[in-house]
Amino acid sequence: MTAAYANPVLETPPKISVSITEACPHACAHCYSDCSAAPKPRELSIPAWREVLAKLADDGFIQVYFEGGEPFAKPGFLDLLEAVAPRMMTLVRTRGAGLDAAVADRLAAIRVGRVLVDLMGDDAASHDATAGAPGAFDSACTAIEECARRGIPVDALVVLTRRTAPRLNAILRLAHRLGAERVGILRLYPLGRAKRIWEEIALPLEAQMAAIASLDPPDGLGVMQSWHPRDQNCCWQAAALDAAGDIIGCQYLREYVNYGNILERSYLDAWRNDPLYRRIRSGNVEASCPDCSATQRSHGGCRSTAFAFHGRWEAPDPFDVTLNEGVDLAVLPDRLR
Amino acid sequence: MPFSPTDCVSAARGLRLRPVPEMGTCLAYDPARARLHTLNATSWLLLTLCDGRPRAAIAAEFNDALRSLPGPAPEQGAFSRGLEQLAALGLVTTAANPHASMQTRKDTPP
Ligand code: SF4
Repeated sequence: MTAAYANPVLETPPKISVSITEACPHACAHCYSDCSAAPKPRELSIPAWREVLAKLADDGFIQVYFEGGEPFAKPGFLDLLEAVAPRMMTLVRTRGAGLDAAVADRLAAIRVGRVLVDLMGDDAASHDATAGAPGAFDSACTAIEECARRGIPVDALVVLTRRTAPRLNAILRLAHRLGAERVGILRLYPLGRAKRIWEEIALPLEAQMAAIASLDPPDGLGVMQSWHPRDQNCCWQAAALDAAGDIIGCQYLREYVNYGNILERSYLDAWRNDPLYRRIRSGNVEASCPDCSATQRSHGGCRSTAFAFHGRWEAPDPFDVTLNEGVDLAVLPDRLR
Repeated sequence: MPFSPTDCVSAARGLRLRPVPEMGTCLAYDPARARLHTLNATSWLLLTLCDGRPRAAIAAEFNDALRSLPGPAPEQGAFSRGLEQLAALGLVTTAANPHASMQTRKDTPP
């Protein structure tokens, strides 16, 4: 029997995340998409994405968050961005590959809404070791600087792992120096290549909480993080497409759900009628942290990590200290191996 | 910010509004500034009234609408403050009313 919790309900979602490609010149050790240098065969073309995004705008979407893979590695991506930006707020997550002064000029002219750049260390040795590509650190730093110099709002993103935890404050200082407005600290998800090196890079929850508690950002730098008491169940408003156009609700659900393909089904049809999509959004979970519910107005924490570690959609999120129930986050469940 | 009650106020060009009635808010995307704002119900109402009419006409309709809602009467100055906030975000533009300025010229001594 589940408790009577409920998330806010949206008739239609206003924001969507699109994984535009699963190709990337980097080879990040924990890549959730298991990217390679060449695009995967099912990936949608730029003309197809143009049609899909125009239809999404017609259907009431007003913001699109592009990620990958590496969006700037997809030929024609900037033209797509230019076509979309007059109707939808655009955000782009990048490893920085290819985002040089000329591309930053174009982004400023297109009026991109925000650029988010992954940092995997505070120096070339640490960043490039995780990115699996020499020069990756320089590209990431250049991307942040060139965007900031042109007044494009830019954030840095850091995935919290054994590798980044000891360097978090140095990464915050670096991001601030380069001109980032904020740094988002993200949890590590057991997806893609991260599963293969989970025991090597995943931290136990106590160590994650200690790392978050030790954050000491420089004045003027915003920090975003979603650990207790800010563990949200954002499924209620989440919409996402993978690089093949499959409707997956959230990029972190990519290995667990598929509500059909956007070339065969409208997003709103999946949103309204897919029973699993409706169930995951509902917030009808087994347990809810009162502190997180009070700050986030949703219940149960992240559905992706809850499902990954428990195999049930209504399970408690083990990344929340009040809902962890003894789960060791540094050990990958056998089901996911 | 100096203003005249006869000034005409319009929503900024290119603005796209996306109501989220379930949350009592409206998202306003301003492509010229690449910003997405979340407006509360009062700002949302005010912005939709800014259709190029004179400020005084918008104020009258805005105050009527607020008075028709259940709950306490609208606060003094709610209209001016709300309009100032929308202007600060770049969501509305103000232009002199051409008819009003002709009148003013006639009344002004040489
Ligand atoms: S799976 Fe987690 S991150 Fe994704 S939308 Fe749901 S709660 Fe948010």
